[in-house]
Amino acid sequence: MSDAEEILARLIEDLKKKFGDKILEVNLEPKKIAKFTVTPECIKEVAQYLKSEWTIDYIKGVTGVDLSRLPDKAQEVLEVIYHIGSISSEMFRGVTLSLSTKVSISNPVVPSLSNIWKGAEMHEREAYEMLGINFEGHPDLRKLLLPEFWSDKPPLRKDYVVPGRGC
Amino acid sequence: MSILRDVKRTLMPIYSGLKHVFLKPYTIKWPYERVPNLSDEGYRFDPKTGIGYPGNKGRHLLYMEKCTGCGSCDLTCQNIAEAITMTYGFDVVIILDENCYEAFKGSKPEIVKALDVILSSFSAEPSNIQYNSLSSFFWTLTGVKQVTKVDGGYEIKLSLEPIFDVRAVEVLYQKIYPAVERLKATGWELRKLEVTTESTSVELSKQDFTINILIRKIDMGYKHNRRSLFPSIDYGRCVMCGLCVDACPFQALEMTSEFELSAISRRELIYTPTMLAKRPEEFNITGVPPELNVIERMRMVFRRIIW
Amino acid sequence: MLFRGEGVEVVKEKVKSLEVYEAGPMLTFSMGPQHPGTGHFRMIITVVGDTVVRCDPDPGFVHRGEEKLCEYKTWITNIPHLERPAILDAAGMIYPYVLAVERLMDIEPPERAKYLRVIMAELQRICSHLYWLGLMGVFAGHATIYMWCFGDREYLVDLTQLIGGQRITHSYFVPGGVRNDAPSKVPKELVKDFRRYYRMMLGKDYPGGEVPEDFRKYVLAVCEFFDTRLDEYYPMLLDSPLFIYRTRGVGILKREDAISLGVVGPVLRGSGVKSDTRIDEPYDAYPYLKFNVPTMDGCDSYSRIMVGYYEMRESVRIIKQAVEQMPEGPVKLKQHPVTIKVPAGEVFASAEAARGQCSYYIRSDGTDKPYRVKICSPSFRNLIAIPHLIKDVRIADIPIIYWSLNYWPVECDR
Repeated sequence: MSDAEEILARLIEDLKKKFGDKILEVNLEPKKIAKFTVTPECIKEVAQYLKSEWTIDYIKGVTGVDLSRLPDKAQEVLEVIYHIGSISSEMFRGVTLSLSTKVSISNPVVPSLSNIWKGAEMHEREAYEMLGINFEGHPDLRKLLLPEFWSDKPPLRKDYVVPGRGC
Repeated sequence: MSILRDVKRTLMPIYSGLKHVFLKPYTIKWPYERVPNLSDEGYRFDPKTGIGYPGNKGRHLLYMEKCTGCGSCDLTCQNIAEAITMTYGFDVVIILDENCYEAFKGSKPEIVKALDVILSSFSAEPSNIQYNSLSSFFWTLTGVKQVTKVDGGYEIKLSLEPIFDVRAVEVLYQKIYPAVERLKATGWELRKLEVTTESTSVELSKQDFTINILIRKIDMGYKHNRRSLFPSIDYGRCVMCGLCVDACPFQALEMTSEFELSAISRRELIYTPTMLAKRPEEFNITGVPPELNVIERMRMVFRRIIW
Repeated sequence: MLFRGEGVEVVKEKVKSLEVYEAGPMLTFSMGPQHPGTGHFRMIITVVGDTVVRCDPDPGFVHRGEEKLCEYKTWITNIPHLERPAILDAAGMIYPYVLAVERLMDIEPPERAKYLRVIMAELQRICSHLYWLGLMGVFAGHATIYMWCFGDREYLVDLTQLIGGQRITHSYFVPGGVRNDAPSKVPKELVKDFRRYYRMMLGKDYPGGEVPEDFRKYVLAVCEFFDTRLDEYYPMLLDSPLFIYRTRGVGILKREDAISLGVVGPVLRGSGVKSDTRIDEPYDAYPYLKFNVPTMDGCDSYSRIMVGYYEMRESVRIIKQAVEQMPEGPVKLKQHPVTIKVPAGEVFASAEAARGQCSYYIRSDGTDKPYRVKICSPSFRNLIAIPHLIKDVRIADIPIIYWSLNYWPVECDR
């Protein structure tokens, strides 16, 4: 067991102790991904805890995934994943955590974490326009890459069909 | 002291630059001179080991005797640039019946005019070219030289090079049908129109003259490729990634170091299999650069030798 | 050039919320997207007099939907189009994708392929940084360094062409190795040409007369030459007081801000943070190579460009080591050249591209196409620094700050 795996195991244990069954799912695959799923209500709390107790202070990206077309376990949900890491803490050197939450596709509202990690602002704006996820409490939720007059479905949803490509 | 140092640091760039004023200039006068940094090797791929050979990724080279028309390159490119299309070669012939041919030999104005109309639709004018049409632009009008006797009349071959296209009906639509429309306006009657994938024929008649225009697939005579199906590449779309070369299981596709692929119309960028089969040294699509004029040549001599 | 268009209402609202400056009337205009300095990128700038009070970046002019495209194409055929966002740094952009797919498939490339990848990535890093340094020179009013950078870059681009077959977008990396081995010989004409260029730039003949034709030795020769040239860049641009006055103390990004904003690459290291993916989570041949991660504590534009300059030196060092240590052997695993099977799963992989850490989140559902590909490109992560830095600065400083971030609009928009 390498250092990174050890620290991750400790972190997960601590989170489970602190938040209990609010941690819905843990997906820990060495070299691939270290993801834990929490409920959307408590994501802000978890993020705050991670930042203050574990000095997770660096955001690497925010991904939105539409899970409605997964072949084996299709769910009508959108998954929001925050890829986070740490610069100040030596232990977390080279470790990327993925903090994820799932919201229903009909009412995708997630609390914004841009006041915890300031860098999440642009990433959240991108997820907002590309997947239609509303981030509550975001300071400036506008379109970023798409034109302002875009009124079609959010393009990265699976039911959006690229014109001329079909399927 | 710091002022002195600042002055020195300010003057240093000027000194560094000044050194180069007295050195020989370095400019390659492309296209009059060849670009020196290209090796002649093109990118190739060995399907046995699964590893490519290093080389430039320029225009493709097609070995028609190796190609089986399997379409692996097409399938790969469908996911990348959609530049490759598998095409058949087509021949366009006009069949005149006996009495039509006699009238033609006697240069009866009606028949000569009708043939003129059909021939004129074969002259490639960029303004008439539709984007995305896969047809050869190599038009050589053979006129009435190649007349052969066939059953039921005489046959005039319209093109020396085969016309490459996906279906015969595309050739009909682009090449023949405008002429047919014009002939219909002058009293010719469209008798019969047969359309299949591999051949298409149009029969026109006026009084007792009959002209038959036939578009037929050519059998290229390669024994590995009975269907005579070969890739055409649109260089307006190709990104030169060379994955089609990797995908070919028979080493029929290769890349060359030819990179000067400019053209004045989009259609000229569509390379037919016969063009792809030519090696770069025997084929220069962009043309030889214009002759240097005297002043230009003297300037070059001056720069190279005297300086 | 007053700002007009759809966004005018938005801007008006935003300006309303700002406090009214007594110094003069507030003026909002847009810088770009046709501005030669910004590329395809617009900044909506509000000024009072000559001072910028607010900057709203507006990317998206070159958005091509790479992430959506990935869902339509297969695993290997995604490679050519994923390089396009950063054509100067195609290897850096595709590196994390290839790593991610390899990790999903649980395969490891052969040793020689690892070294070839490192050589390619570092050559591209130098090419990209030379482009950056050259244009930085232009924006500081220094045209000579632009010519020099682009002249020297040519020989490094030629090396990438010898290896990968193309000048910029090579499609060279594939999951399971690289597509072809490096050549053993360099064309004679190129060697002759390099010798001529050497004599022209350094004013003396190549030591020993003949430039070696062997590939390894030729790479070392170019590296030596480039090292000497880097020495000349320093007095030419970076030590010149005119350049220093123009860039020192301009666009200060403090260490804490850099971390909380999540910026990457030379921007982060220019703020004194020692963070490099090649060291933090070493991949491929990087663990076997010795190099430093240059950082500067100035936190300003000058520090950022200096970090870029020192990184080129480190890259040269890495290339030299990699060329010497490179073992013989195959360069690719045995697999189908175009169709590969990737098991279902999730992966997050990062690599150090020229502009900083580039990461991919990939979700596979076991079919021949990815289910979701998310690109966290370095320029997108540096985008947030633009409104932060272009605030309370003079208009004349905007180009300097903008170029010190090494922002590449296409890479940001994807």
